[in-house]
Amino acid sequence: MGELADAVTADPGRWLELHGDAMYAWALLRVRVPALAEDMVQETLLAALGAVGGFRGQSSERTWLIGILKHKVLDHLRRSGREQPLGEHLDEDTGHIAGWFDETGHWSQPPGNWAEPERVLEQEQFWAALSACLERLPERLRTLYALRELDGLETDELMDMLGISSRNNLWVMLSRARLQLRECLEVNSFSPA
Amino acid sequence: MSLIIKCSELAQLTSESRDRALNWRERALIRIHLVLCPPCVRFRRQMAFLAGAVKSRGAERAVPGATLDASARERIRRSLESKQR
Repeated sequence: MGELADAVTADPGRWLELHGDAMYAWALLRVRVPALAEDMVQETLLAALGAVGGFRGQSSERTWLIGILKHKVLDHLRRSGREQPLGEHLDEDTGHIAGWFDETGHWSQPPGNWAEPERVLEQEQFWAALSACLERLPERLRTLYALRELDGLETDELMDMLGISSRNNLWVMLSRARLQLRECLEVNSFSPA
Repeated sequence: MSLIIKCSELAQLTSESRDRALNWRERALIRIHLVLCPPCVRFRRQMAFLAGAVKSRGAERAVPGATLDASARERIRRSLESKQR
């Protein structure tokens, strides 16, 4: 314990001030429900308060807090996945699948030519479109996609956490999330002006 | 045993290749299909680009612009204060 711990205990509101919004936005992407994301932030800050000694200053304060938050969020998802599985309403999405491919399995709207995608990465517009497209995914697909692509969870962990019954279903759901994102980006970011 | 898969099957395998290791047969089926199908070549390029883009913004793995509203902030502040006492 040193100066850092003293400073932190003296003014816990500072974490909330500096990192509250970032923590909230991080949690919201994964749990979707604002009230739940708020609770996660609160629980995290309370836990952090009791664990200040564990912060050694090797990472930034925010990274440390997000690390605790991640535990809280994954715990929550694991618990709620057991009580109420994410659901595998694969049939609900058949409308989409039918939209992407015709009866013979060919693209109904062949993927276009994305011009200079590397340059696009520097444009704020592209990132705004990507965020908007992520937002538009159905809830269960977005949670799944975020945990897989952003947090790097593996197939078995995801099945356990979200209560998905088979690997094949999981892979099909991930594929729908990716195809939907791709299509949304093509329409909103890469369509010829 | 057909060596030709449909575009819809290629799309599924392309996605799955990010989640598991494909076997040699699946990889061969993809390669054969790509020789015959420029749209799927573009599709695969787009999927690789998308995965890279999503990964590259590590710090922003959050809902952009989402902020705690005033009442939530106040509630959290109070709970922190009461824990401290």
